Amino acid sequence: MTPNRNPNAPTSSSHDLSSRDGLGAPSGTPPGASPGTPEVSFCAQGRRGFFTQLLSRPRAAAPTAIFAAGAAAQESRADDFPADIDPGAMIVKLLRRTTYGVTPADVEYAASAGFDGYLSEQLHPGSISDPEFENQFARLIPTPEIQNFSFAQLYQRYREYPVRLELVDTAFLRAIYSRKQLFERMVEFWTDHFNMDSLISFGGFFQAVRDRDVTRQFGLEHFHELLLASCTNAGMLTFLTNVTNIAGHPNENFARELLELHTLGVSSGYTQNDVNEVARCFTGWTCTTTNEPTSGGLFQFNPNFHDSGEKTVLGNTIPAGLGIQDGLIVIRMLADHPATSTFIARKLCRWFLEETPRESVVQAAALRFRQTQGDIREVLKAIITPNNLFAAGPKYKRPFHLIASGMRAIQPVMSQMWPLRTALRECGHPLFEWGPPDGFPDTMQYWGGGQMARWNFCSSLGENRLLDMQSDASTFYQGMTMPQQVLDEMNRRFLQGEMSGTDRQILLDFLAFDPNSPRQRRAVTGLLLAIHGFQWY
Amino acid sequence: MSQPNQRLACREFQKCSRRRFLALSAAGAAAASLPDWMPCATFAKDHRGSQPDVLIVAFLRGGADALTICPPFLDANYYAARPTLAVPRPDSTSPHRAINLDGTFGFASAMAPLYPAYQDGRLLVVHAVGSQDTTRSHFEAARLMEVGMASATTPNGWLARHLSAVPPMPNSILRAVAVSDGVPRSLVGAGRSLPIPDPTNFNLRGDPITQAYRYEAIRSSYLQSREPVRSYAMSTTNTVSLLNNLDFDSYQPAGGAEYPGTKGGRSLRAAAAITKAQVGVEVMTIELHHSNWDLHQSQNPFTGAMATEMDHLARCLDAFQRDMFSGAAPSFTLVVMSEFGRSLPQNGSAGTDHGHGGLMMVLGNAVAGGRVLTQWPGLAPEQLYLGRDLQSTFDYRDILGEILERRLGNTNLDAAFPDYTPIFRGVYE
Repeated sequence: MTPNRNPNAPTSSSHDLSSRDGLGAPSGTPPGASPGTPEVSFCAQGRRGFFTQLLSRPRAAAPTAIFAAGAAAQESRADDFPADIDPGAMIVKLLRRTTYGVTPADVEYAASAGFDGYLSEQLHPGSISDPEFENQFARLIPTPEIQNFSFAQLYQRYREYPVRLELVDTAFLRAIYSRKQLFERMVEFWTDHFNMDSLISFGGFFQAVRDRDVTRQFGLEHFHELLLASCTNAGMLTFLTNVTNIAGHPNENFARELLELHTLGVSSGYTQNDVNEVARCFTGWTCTTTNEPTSGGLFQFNPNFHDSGEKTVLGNTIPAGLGIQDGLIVIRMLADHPATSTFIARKLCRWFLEETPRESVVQAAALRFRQTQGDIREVLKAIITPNNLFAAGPKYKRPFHLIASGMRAIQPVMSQMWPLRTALRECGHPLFEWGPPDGFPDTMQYWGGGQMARWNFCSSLGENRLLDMQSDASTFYQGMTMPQQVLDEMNRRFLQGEMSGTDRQILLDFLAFDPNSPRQRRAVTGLLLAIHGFQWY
Repeated sequence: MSQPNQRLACREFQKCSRRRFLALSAAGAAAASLPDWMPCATFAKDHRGSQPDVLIVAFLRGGADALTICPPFLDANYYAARPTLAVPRPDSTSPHRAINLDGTFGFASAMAPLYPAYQDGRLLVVHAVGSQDTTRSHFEAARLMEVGMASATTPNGWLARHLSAVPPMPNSILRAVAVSDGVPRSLVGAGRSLPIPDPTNFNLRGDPITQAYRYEAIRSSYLQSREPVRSYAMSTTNTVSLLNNLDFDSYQPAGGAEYPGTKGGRSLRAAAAITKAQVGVEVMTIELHHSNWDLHQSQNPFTGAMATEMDHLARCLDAFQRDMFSGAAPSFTLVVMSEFGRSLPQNGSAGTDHGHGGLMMVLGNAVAGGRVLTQWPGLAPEQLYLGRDLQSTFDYRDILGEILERRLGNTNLDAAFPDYTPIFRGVYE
């Protein structure tokens, strides 16, 4: 099941790492280990295997309503479903789980592409053209060129604050306008998984570089490539203070979070001694001085700081004298460890399916992870299936998701982006600014409390009260004279026909204050975004 | 509907603008299903002694270094393990020498703003206290401590379980406030509790004419939601009218207290205002940090990052205690805790790594303060936890349990701490 690799990929450390005997002593000098020349490069070009068409099987029709489906499935949780769910019936739910909000155009497009076709396309974002995002990006991002800049270029030419703002703004524009919706959902996932706080010194520059070179570069590739990119990212090494992890003076911060948060997961069996030994393996993994004119803020392996003694990690001996290979071996060891496959699979199941995913689904995804050396596309295909979607209960939108979905629903014309940043902060979700290394939580329990700010944003958005953006939601209902028609259109447009009877009555009553006034129609639209039905995906 | 300012006994809040009154009326109409609550009138006039303390739990997230905040300055092992980070003895000539607390322990000089509270007997320092769990993970340690049990498999937090074990104040609509964006694990599962990042600004914006209807609509709609979203929505709408009664803007701290303008300072100021208003809030949680307690490098307790953290902590707590000990404020207990202390040896980056035993502080009316309460385990190599860290000779639940039973009317500590029996260590007289 080894995926196709590009035969022309450069021979590099990561290539060496892909050999399964990485724990043995490699012959010759490993690339990148020569003193002072940190050269860890990655084979980014390799485009992985083809999407295998699912075998055609007998299909059963399934209800589409997210609440009904989830609830029905919960009752028969332990059982496998007697028949496969018709993928066609799961299109809307597929869209709900893999986008930042479903529009009627999305439904139409995905229905014509089919479940497999749509998912396959989404898993290969490189092939998706993105004119609307590019248009908005060109219009609203004042210094688009920084997207291509190195740390040194950013450091030399820009203040950090606008770089941080632009990162958040760009994330919003992508979530709202990009057609690569699944990819953006994955970028958000990895951003939390490999959390870095952009409020540390130079954190904005580090985050901008990391976002591009790690999360976006490898977000749908193999996990070991992503992990390697993260571990050799100067920002991550700085954030987790590995830059001062020096032979004889170890700093275990990076090592501990690498094991606990990035790979194996807490309580997976590693010991304090493993943490110590991993810390020794990563001594000398550091970052060039931030103010070097052309090479500042880059990953650097400094052999003078490296502990060259023998180490034992998770029972495996790493012989003395391997230099940078120590860390590379550990990265591959961790990426290939069964605990990692389960940890990552479970987290992905939580992200796309539900907070407490069924164990059989987690294990199937973990198995797929191991079978494919952590091919993230393949793991996602194992998770995002009609059956799994059918069984999954509703998920509560985090604030970033809610705001983006509101924007996709109302489609205002923005002239400035600060109102979105402000709303995000008020909702307690300032992107890239979660201080601890574990990333923003993904639980109802954490987010359930902060509803006032959500209600306020949603109402303001519907009523066109946000500054620096223009919308008129009443135009959605042009020519409709009956309140019932307005409600039907709201249901179709914003809730894919799944509005509850209670919500419908609440909105009808509110509309009745002044049923034909554009002002009241906008207010009703704002209220719809604020109440129960719109908070879930 | 009575005038809001008649409902509030506390002078601090008697200012009530017309605009605020209108907003209140609308919110009040929305919350029509609630009892006609009257915050102060429901309590006896002389509440001291009979009313339980309001509890404020201040968490120092990141692992605060107990050995710097409260250095054991008689211990040669301390100075040997921390060549550049140890706080000098009080009898040294260093400008950064420790403040002598009891002849054995001191305060780092940056803690000086809090020293008067210690001298006045209002502040108790508890040393070598913490969890029995071996984890050195921030998240796991903090989670276990906030759950209050040996494993984090229980969804409910210790404060939530405490609240369910004691009767609420009469007509209380909000029992606990987390001054934070999200719900801390300690309050997970607690009814009538909310995260309120800024209690001074909490209302539904937009057209005031339809505000009442929109509150009603939100209440009806969220009745369909799953827990805990549903309960949080109900608590939120209920809380609006309560908080709008409090005129935070014109709140005047007593006793010349000056809260730092930081998030921590603002949180404590709001906590004082809510406590004084006596609206039935029993528990508040806050986070106290200037930037970060997790100082793996360049800790510098004299002029650097750790000094900044300690100075901020000390000024925040001092402002709160000055404010609350002046005039007729209700009685309170404020407890400071952190997920663990830090390693005894300094690391290669002039910082310290995650450790084990740590420090708690307790401020309050009945606290037997002016002491360092500890069973000091020593810092010789064989006395260290896993050869590296300060031991925890007191369990953190010993302190919390004593607070709950002695001052919060909890007669069933098993509910709060089902798998541990707290041993009272003498937090109170």
